[in-house]
Amino acid sequence: MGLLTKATRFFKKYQAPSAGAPEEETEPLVRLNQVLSIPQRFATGPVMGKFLNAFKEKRILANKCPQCGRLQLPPREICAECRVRATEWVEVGPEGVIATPDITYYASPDPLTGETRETPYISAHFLLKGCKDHETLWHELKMTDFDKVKRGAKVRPVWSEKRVGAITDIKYFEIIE
Amino acid sequence: MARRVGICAVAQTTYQRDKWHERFQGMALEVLEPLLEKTGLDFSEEQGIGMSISVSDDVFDARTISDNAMTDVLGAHMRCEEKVAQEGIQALYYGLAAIQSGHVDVVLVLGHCKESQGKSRNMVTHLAFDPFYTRPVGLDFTAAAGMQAQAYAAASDVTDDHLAEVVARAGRMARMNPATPETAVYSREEVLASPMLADPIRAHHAYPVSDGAVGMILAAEDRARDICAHPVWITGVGNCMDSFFLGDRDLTSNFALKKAAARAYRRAGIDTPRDTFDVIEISDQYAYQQPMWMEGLGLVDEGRGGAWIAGGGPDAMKVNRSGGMLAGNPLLLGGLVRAAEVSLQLMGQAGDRQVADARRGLAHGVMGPAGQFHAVAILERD
Repeated sequence: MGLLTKATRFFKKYQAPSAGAPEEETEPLVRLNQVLSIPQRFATGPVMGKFLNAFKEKRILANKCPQCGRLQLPPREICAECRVRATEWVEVGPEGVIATPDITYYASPDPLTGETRETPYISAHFLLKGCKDHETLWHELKMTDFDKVKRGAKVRPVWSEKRVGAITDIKYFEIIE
Repeated sequence: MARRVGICAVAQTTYQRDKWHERFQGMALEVLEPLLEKTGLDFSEEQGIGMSISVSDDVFDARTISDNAMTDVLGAHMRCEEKVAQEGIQALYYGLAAIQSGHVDVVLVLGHCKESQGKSRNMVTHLAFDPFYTRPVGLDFTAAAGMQAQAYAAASDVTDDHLAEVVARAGRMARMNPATPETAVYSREEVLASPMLADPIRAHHAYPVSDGAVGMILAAEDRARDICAHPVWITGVGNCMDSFFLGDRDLTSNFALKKAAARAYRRAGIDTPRDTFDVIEISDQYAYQQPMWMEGLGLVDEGRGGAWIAGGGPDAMKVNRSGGMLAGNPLLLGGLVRAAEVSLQLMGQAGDRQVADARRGLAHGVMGPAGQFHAVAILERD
């Protein structure tokens, strides 16, 4: 501690360039505003693509590891634990229960429009019928269900009228009375 | 004496304009599965692959920490996972160092890049520049290469006709390479008639936009001999990073490439690089780079790249029998593909483009604007 106190004598305390001087006497520091944006077109491939396509028919598909038998929801090409392609498919849900819910009070704005989604919103890990343990799907819960949120509450998906093969084809899950 | 490291197997996808039907992960599996099949390796902790090194770029992949998307696919779940966000040939260097250190015996290297995903490849390389001085004016890698090509044209004997021959030859070579099924074969006249991109770089002088993946298995000498019959030894690697600001550089000096080559030659025990290599693969992203990089490697007289092309030098010296980058590999993978191509030649697995009895080859990679960064690897077989 003594050494540190001595060392501080050798250094002047940092002062911001504009600190202590009237604004008009200092050179203005320039800041530049830019928006970074590169339009993307993401391939979904045969695995994610199959999952998303099934949304058009209001079906939720998980893929299954041929070795350990665990389900992946949403599906991915590989069972990371067994290091093999998860090649089998099973339909799950559509109903299930809330495993872990959370409420989020902010959202990141779209960089081009500056718009944000409505906040707050509730998201949750949902354990759908046919799934076990960590085989949960992360999605949104209807905001008006706020007062009824609890682990184990029964839910069902609410589908968009127009479904295009996107995760948002499920508008949200809602609690079944 | 550090232990020797061998390349035991290589695999790659085709390189095509738009692999719209596959995610990165699907492309990577197309490479990983044949590598495991050829070598009989797995990811077991005792005798399996001890380190997985992915090659990817956050901006090309449009996600930060782009390796997060690849860990599961590359067998690296709960294991040693590394990433190279640089020219892919750096992953070869990284794997070599990891094995020579004694920490691991067997390394997987696997890179992917999808140039088709973003609206424009130039929009991606534009982001390599600073937002203050250069970006607002419009710099990207193509524009930077144009500056260098101008300077090189003034300092050398290379003409528009020579560059047309470089492109026409790349197309002919690509025909012998099953990995480049879509590469256009242009006549010299067609190249000369193609519009300017960044004078003197014409549209057909630029490497085509492509998607693809490439990978290899590296192993310490004793393991390498068990895994495959004819390992390809990495006998020398060198690299060099030049100034970021283009104005700080003499764009025709080949400073970084000369340094990188000298380091690789010294480590490989090569005193006179000319007539040393049976096969040479260099990363020619733009046509002018083929003669210019050959000069920088000390394999062609300085400023005489044009005479070298006119005299049939590329065929005589077995340069880019694969078609090179002009035949189509994405940025990021060019140098790693070059190393894979030299390996295939030394393994005798290069098919129609095979150079008879190739024993020693050179692979080159380049990244950054106007050849800011160069890497050279010398590969040999017993």
